[in-house]
Amino acid sequence: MSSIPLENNDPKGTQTNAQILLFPARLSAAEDRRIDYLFSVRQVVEVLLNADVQYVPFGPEHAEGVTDWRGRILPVLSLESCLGMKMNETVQPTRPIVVRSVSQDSQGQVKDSYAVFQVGAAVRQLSLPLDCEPRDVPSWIADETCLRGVYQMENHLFLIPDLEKILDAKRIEN
Amino acid sequence: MPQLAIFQSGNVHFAVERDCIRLIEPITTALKAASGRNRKQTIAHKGQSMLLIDLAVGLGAPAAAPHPRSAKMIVIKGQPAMALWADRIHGVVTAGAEDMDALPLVFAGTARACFPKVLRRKKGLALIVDTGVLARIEASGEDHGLIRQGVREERHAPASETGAKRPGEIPVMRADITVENIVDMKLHQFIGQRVKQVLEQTMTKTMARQGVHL
Repeated sequence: MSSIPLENNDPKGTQTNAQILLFPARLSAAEDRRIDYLFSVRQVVEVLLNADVQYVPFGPEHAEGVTDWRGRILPVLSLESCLGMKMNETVQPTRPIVVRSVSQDSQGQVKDSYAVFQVGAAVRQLSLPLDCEPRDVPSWIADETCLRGVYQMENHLFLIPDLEKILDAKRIEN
Repeated sequence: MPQLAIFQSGNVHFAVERDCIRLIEPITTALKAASGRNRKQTIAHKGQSMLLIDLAVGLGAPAAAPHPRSAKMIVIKGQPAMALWADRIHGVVTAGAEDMDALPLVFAGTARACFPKVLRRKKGLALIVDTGVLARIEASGEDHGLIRQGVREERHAPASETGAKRPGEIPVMRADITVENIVDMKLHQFIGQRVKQVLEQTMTKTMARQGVHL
């Protein structure tokens, strides 16, 4: 997926009014800022009311289990664990979202990858551009390789997950 | 189409091929009282030692229900002798290929080896247990063991190298341990042993010719 410019750097203005979705992270506030995950509307396939998660023994730390979504078995992943952060269990309510990443395999074939993330339930939809500024990845994020960027706006911190890296086509097939 | 016995351990549903089951019997009150719930314990059963595996405990305490009266153990055929702790048994279903999907690839290593497929039912998902792989992994008894489906390799390594993060957790198989690597290592071992034998024989003959006897 292409990067998501939060400032309108496109001279033709084609990125104007691109829609993004913000979901609260299951983290305690840091630096006195609320932390949200930022996705493009193209990345979020569906926001579910709930998901029946089947936990899987011996699974990796960032994989909470599996769930059945429209006849597909999808992994339920923890973004917090992907980023090496400790989850705040008191963040309630939460909501599962189905995300999609498009990538190319070694043969050049385009492949869709799907997964489910558990995020805070208070979703917000905004239009670009936003009045925000990029910043360095905070030191309290242990694994910055799963992030495409970090932005701050007033008392908010936006984390942009790198879905292609998190949903690496070599690791997840659907 | 295979018949699968559905059972529940804690809050998680599992499925085992009916043909793999030797028998199902209640877990005795004495056993529950003596040992409680452990992820893996060795018990005496009909004159032999047997591993009793509680898959729910492997997920952490919240998933394990405390000593329900209906707890049974599903004794699996074959060796090593193994039984699975079942809090409830839901019955037997006949499953077609369309009802089963592979476990997503993010669950690599031990998870994928032990639960290669997921059964889709109206009442929810159930992890299909590969009892042969699970028995071999659990019987290895070593946190440092690196297990791959169909191939077993014992390796003495610090826990940090194996990726085991929680005590008793089966470490995820490392990507650099492949069949080719194992064959290569075994070949080197064989060559090393053979060379040593030939050297010893040659030395013995040479010394005998020169009249040196030890």
